[in-house]
Amino acid sequence: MEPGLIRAAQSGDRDALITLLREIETHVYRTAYYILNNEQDALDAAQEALIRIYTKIGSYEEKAQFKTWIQRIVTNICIDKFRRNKPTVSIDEHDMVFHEKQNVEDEVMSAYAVQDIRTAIDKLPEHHRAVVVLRYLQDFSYNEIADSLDLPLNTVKSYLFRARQQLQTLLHDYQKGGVRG
Amino acid sequence: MNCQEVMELMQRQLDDDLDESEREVLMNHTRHCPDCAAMFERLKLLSAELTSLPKVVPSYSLVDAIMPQLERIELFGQPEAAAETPSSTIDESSEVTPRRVKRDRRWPSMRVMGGVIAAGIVAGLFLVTYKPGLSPDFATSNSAANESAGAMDTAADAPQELAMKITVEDGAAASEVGTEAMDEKATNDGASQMESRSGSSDESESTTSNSDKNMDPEAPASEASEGEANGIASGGGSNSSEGSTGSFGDSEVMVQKDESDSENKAAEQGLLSPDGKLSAHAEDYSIQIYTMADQTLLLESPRKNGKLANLVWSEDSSQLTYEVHAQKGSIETYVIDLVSRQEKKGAH
Repeated sequence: MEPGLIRAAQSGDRDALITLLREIETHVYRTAYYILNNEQDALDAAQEALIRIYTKIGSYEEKAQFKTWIQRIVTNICIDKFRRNKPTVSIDEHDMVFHEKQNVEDEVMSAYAVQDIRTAIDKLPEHHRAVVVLRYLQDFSYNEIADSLDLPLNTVKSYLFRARQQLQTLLHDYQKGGVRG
Repeated sequence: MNCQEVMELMQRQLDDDLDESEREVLMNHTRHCPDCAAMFERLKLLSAELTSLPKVVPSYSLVDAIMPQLERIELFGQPEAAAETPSSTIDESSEVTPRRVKRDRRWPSMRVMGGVIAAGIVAGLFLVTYKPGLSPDFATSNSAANESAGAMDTAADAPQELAMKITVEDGAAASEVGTEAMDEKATNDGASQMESRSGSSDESESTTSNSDKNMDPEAPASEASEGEANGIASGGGSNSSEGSTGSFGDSEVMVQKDESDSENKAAEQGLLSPDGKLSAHAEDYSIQIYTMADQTLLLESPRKNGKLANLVWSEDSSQLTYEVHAQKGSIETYVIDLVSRQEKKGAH
């Protein structure tokens, strides 16, 4: 996303703004898709986010990165939707402590099925999930994630680490023939 | 260094966040600790899998899909709360005065919109809670309006029901129709009944300025604009130009208009289901299904990014299959299941 286009969009050039929206729609949708884990909800949320970006482009300040600004908008919408849709499971209900006694003789797993991963992501609490999505689907750094979600850097790390540990545990369970979500 | 501390190093290594010496510590530990080595392998595999999750793309152009909404925003501005409360997303007056009020700036009108919506909500509540016959004034204006509308027996809350019914169907266009019904009503009432209300400046000011637009004699011309919303929007438009102030009168006009509108549609080019109970129409970019018995809109599909063609009913009338011909030349098949009222993308 080139700064020139963003500046033009901000200064009231409607064509530039539409062009900009077209450039970001896939990124916006992808985040929504993996946070909400549902195509229709993701389409709705992404459209809502694009409309919000359209109306709020004037409030974007260049000191923030544009890509973190748009991800903040879409994750906020998704988290709102997510809260409305389902009760969340606290990550503390899962045993997140490193299991030293984990059966290391288990074969290190072959590839997890994509569906297993999505099911596992779906079990994460909202912010953990958002952190994972930004890290892996948007390829964001810790700092960029912190900016997008308005969280302290250390919180971002702790969410990401715990999320990965939980995902690993869940997927490991699936592999051992556990119940598939 | 214990295993718990090494865990953090592993995690940071996955994000490429370790310096040379930290990496050294990690490697030394995993060489001697099979548990940690196994865990590290699993985490690396997980991280690789997460990296290679499918890079999904939307099934249609989202920007194209929201373009009508963006144009309305361009014309009239967007209330702050719009995204959260669907019922306030679209104001009817942007329908009534298409492309007449081209604003240079989007932002200032947001205050005005907020006022209109606030007024609308108050008027809406007023409507819902008001029972016919409680006030002589009301009864009079009600019957007067009824006469002019030529229909007598629909309850005051009919438009609410109508609006609700339509809103439940999840297409964007459908919910716009519903909210326009609400907003239209609200705006007219706001104009006619709330003038005397004290109103901290904002509210009364904006109500008046907007009603000016709504009461514009040219309003009925909107019938020709914006396909989906015709029945309701123009119903309100012509009503206001007649100068009818009765809120129940509004309802009559709107319901009637809507029904005759759908009747026309059903008669025009609908595809009748095998059991003769339903009629399917390709309207603009979405499919609408009407019941033949009372000509009400049963459901409306989400907007599609292309031309709709080849509507086919299943033999038992439980499903409607249709195709979307996108500009790029691709053809997608969709199936609407009338039982679950869900739409699915069909097999190619």
